[in-house]
Amino acid sequence: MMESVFIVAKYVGLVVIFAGLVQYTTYFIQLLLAAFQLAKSGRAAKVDALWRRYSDSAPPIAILVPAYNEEKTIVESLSSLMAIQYPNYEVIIINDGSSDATLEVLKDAFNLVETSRLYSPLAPHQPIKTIYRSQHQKRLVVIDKANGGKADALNAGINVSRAPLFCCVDADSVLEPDALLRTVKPFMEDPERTIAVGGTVRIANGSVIRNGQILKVQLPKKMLPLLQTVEYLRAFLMTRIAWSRLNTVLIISGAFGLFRRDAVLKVGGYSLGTVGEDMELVVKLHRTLIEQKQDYRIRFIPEPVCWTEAPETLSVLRNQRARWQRGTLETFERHGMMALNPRYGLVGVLGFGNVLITDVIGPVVDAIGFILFPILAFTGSLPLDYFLAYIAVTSGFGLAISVGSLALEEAQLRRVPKASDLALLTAICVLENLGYRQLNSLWRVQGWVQYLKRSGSWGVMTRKGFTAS
Amino acid sequence: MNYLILIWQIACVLVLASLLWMITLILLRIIRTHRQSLYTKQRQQILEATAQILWDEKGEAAIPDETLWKSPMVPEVFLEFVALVRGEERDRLVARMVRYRVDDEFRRLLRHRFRFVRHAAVEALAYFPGLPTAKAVDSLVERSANRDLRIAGIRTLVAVGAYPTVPDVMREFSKLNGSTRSLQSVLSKLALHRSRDILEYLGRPGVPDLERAALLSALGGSADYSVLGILEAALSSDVPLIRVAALDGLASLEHPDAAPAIASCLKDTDWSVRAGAVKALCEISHDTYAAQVADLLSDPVWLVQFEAAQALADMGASGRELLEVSAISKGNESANRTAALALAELSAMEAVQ
Repeated sequence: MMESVFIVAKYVGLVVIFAGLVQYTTYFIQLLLAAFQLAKSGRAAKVDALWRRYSDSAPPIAILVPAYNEEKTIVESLSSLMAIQYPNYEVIIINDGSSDATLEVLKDAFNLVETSRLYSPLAPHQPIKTIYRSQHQKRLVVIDKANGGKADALNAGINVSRAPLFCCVDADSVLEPDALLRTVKPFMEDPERTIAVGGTVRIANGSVIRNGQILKVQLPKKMLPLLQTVEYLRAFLMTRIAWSRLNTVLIISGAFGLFRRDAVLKVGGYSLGTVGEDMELVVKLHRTLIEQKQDYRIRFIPEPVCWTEAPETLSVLRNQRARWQRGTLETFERHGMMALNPRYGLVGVLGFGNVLITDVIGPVVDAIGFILFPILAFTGSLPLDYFLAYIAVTSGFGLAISVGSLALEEAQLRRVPKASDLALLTAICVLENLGYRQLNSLWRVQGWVQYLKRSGSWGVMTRKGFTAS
Repeated sequence: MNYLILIWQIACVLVLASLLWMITLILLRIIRTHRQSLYTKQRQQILEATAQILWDEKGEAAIPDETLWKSPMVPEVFLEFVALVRGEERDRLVARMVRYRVDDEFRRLLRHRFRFVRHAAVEALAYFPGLPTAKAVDSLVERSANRDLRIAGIRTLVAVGAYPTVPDVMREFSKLNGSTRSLQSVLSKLALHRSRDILEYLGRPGVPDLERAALLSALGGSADYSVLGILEAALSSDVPLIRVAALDGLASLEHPDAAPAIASCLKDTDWSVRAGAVKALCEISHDTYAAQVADLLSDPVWLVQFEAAQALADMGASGRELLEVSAISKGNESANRTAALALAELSAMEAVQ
């Protein structure tokens, strides 16, 4: 009996170790690709140089900001958007049936008056109640509509906007003044083929923000946002840069992305009824354009930065991560046939194949490992070499990847303010692999369960507002 | 060897290597932070010296340190500074910079090892016209492997009046996959001075469609009405991209004689051509074709409907009348909606004014 338990344990252990090896091999390849791409791109130009180079030919942009119960942060976020350095843009706030005083706060702060606007009925959304225009901010339009969720609100914004490009920004985010000038670069260089560009999202907790402007960049003071800082570095500076190089970016963050309006309208806008609308849209664009045999580019560039408030409590973070996992699974459900399908080229084989390994199967295998290995090791059912290999693939490789991402950030971008902050983040890279990542996998399994139960909830995201942070 | 132990050993090596790399980067950061304060100080000195030579009335101020102008930071600081001054002040600044031979330094910096220095230098040279600048920049465009640098060089050549030839610009255009907004603005400026050359180039056999479209669009900015014929002829091209570009050119040229040819495109099979025709008619303010434009309020493509509604709204009383009729005419919901919303927007704008 004990012998058969021992054999089963060894096989389960081998499967978990093999799955981990596959997962981390893809991460190391991503790290190398990202390092190559960052080294090639060179030093980022200063904002006045960008203005000089692009201002005479930069295309108009509509910034779309869906807002649901954002009374605490909306004015501050909007102030940052009004101070954006870009020659031709408008800001469209979409109040998605907020139950708090979001609309009233906007009316007071920006002196809104009712207006009317010719808009397209192309992307589906809940009815628009009223369109407002600011009396003293010519660039500002506010749409008040019935509640329908983020994708629904964005569709309303796309319909009402007129610029050839639109930029979706979360209402709780702060864009750097030069973010649009930097993000528009691929559209300037390759306007025919570029259909979407994503930028980096960084954690704002701890930084000094006044009137929607980042006055001083600082690391978060609390542990959870610090851990997320490292996570975001890995996600943006490693994964997305690497996939961008291969034109297989599958997600442009809902917090900050620039899209060609006609391309998005051709695929019917954002799909409703999903919590992962940002990923779903990008995958839908890939799928449609590949099926139509069109030449296109979806890019990620690291320099344009959007700052966002990260969850500071475990319960809010758990909700967020479970929701992200659910969003990924919903997208996989809709477009899963692309995975490992050569018809979809690198997007299907590498991009979606990676989603299958790391996001669909990964969390489940990880969770099995986290639960099973300590039990097996404690009961003596597993030899030491199995346990060491398991630690290597879960924590050792993970640590090397996290530190590698941080090193890329420092070698090329240098956004971390001080040397002491770098040292702190290096320590966080170590800590992150000793519990936090494991916890994250469990939350993602929770996302799996919610997905199977067909839960459509977004969970509660409590906001402090930037000034308070 | 046990493969599982090997995995453990590889992980240990990777962890150690990444931590060592990070420690090195932290140490480099400490050194860089120290050097940064020196750069900031030198930058401040350059700014002060630039201000001093600009605002010294007689231009006889002693420059604190002439070696300051040899710094690779000067072009970048100069560009920031020159963006803040206009007219006579800008001319005075440039003239005094020439007296101190700063432009010689900028030309020398075109061979600097860092690309961002070369980039700033070539952009700064746009303020220093003359043969030496034209030669130096031309040479940079010839030898540079970097796309951004070459475009900056071409822009500088245009700015200093040393217009590159159309084939040279188009060679660059083709290297860029035929599509870059930065070069399109250069082409528009080139069209003002080289419209004959553009026509000659368009007459060559085998010019790719993207290049042809870019040149036709640029011809609109030539202010040369003799190009009207070639733009109108391009409206009968088989390629929608070329028809749209020709419409774009005609819209920029704003010649009323082009209206009938543009109006003939209102019934084109390609929606982008129909939308382009409406826009072009709107640009040359021609309400003779208002009724045909109003028909497009029921076009199957939204963008065409939108352009038609906008054009009618911009046409004044006659356009508004047609919008009012379309808003209540029976049997076409799409035209009703578009016209009604356009009218509502028009009223709202009027109320604000």
